[in-house]
Amino acid sequence: MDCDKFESAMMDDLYGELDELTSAALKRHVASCAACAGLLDGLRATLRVATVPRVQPPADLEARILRAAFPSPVSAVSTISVAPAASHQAPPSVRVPSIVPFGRRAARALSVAGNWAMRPQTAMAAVFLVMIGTSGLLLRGRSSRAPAGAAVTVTEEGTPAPVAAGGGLAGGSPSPLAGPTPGAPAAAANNADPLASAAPLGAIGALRSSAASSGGGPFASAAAGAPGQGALAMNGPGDDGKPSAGLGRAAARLSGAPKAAPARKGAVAGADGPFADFRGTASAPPAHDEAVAEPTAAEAARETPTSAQAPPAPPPPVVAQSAPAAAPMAAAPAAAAPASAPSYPAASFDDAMNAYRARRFDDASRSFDALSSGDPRADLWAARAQREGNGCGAAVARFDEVASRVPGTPVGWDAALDGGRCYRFLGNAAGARARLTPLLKVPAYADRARAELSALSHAPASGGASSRP
Amino acid sequence: MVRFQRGDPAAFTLLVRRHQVPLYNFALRQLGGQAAAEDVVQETFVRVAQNAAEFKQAARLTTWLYTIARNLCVDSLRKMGLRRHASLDEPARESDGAGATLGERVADARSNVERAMLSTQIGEQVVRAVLDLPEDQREVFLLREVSSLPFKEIAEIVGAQENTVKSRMRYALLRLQSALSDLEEYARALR
Repeated sequence: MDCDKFESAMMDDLYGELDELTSAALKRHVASCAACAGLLDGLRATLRVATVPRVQPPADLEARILRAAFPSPVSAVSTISVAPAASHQAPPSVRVPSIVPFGRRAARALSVAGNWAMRPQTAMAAVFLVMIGTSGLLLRGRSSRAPAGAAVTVTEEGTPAPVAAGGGLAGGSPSPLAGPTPGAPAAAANNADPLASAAPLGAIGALRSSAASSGGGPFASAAAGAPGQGALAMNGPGDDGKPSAGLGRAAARLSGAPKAAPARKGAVAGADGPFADFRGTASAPPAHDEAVAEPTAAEAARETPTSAQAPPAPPPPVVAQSAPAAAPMAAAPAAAAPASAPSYPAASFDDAMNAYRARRFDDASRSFDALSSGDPRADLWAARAQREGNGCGAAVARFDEVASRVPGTPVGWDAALDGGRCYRFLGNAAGARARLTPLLKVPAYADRARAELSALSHAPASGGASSRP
Repeated sequence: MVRFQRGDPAAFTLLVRRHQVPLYNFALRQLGGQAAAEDVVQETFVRVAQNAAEFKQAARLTTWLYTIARNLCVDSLRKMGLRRHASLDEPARESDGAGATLGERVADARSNVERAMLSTQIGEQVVRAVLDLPEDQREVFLLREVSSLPFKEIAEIVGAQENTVKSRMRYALLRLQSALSDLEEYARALR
């Protein structure tokens, strides 16, 4: 230890507050340094002499302090007797107010809580709780919007294009019949289960997860419009012949693009689910070149001749050229409706279609008849209901009536095709040929008409008033 | 103090009894007057009572008490202006029934040597020497010698570094050594 360090440690040594090691070093230095030794001795002697005498405060000081600290008029909460320092004084009565007011206690508690809140663990826990709460709200909201049981059925209808048709749908049956028509086994399978035919489609497959029942809808169109996945029904006179055109329209319909024609409910049946928003927009009666909702269930696809509504409009679409025999993905009665078609009360038309799907053909026939009021589409479906309910004998006249009333229209061609079929089943080959032969000139119907004629020439007529196609 | 914060008024009485004597002596030697010292002590405890909620349990009560008292002493000394030293014409104590002035008592000390205790003479000289110390050195000396506070706590009270406090203490002792040189000789003779 040198003199500088000695001076810094000297005061502590005077009061005995040095640690042993430093104290020993200081003593060694003092033993070797006369100046430091003299300084230390002088200060130690001064401390010994300069002892300030302690004086007792006045006896009444304590009482005065207590009186000053707790004046009597305060709003005291308690009263104590303070013993005086001196025995000769009477104990004053001191009223003590609340020491720590509630506000300060609350502020202190808030401060403590704030310290806890600033800890990382607390922040992490808060974030975790927010995440859980948000997830819970989202799940609850979704479940409330889509209650169990509410579902949307996406139905693909029609006969897919053959695989060789260059991106068209597989199957490629020219016949809309559900029966094992020669040359169209895949079509039968597809018609038997419309969703099965939609399964290969990515979009439809995704939609199927939420689909449960009811007929097709705009999703069928969307699926049909998917490039390379059978957009035949999407193409028509208004198309530019590119597969993507159908996709564009389908997308427009899904996004609620306004249509000139009034909307018809039912394109997406039971649409209480996530796709309920499409209900109104997707059901607008589209131009007949679009594939629209086919109001058929699996039974309808199997039992009824599916309407292939693609008109023979030139130029034929690219896909249609590559797969001319392909049936459209979906065809609804609305597809054949002209832009000026009368609008129906949506619930009534749907009721009629529901009755048709439920195989209550008498009810369906009556409903369509009540709705028809000169509309060939309702008449066509009324004829079909008659055919399903009472057989071809009761329906051929009505098919003929529709076909003669709106010739050259999809409804008329459908009526002619169905009528020709009925005549074939009734054994009237001449009548069948008379109605099917003109359809050979209509590209969209040519293959089916040709198939019917071929069946007419190869197979004997089944006959019977109750026979059905 | 914690009991007092929780609303126990009796705890404040204990607080006063425990700390009033060293506080009073510190203020008395710092100010040099009994009345001023009593006022400082009383005001110190009043402020403690009023601001008890502000006191944090982690702090030392003595540090808080002496900080208040020291600030009050500083204020009082400022009010007194340059009159740091007791006037020789002023009665030394208000309660002194004789009303003798400090000059009279100092002058009278040698004449009454047989009646007065030697320690009293030494004490009075020490008191005068302490009063002659500069204010910053005096407060450090008093806090250390009268209140027996460690240098670290003194540093907190006066708001200075600990080494600065030690330095002030050293200079105070050197001044007292010079002022009490005759008494020191006497003290050495006593050894």
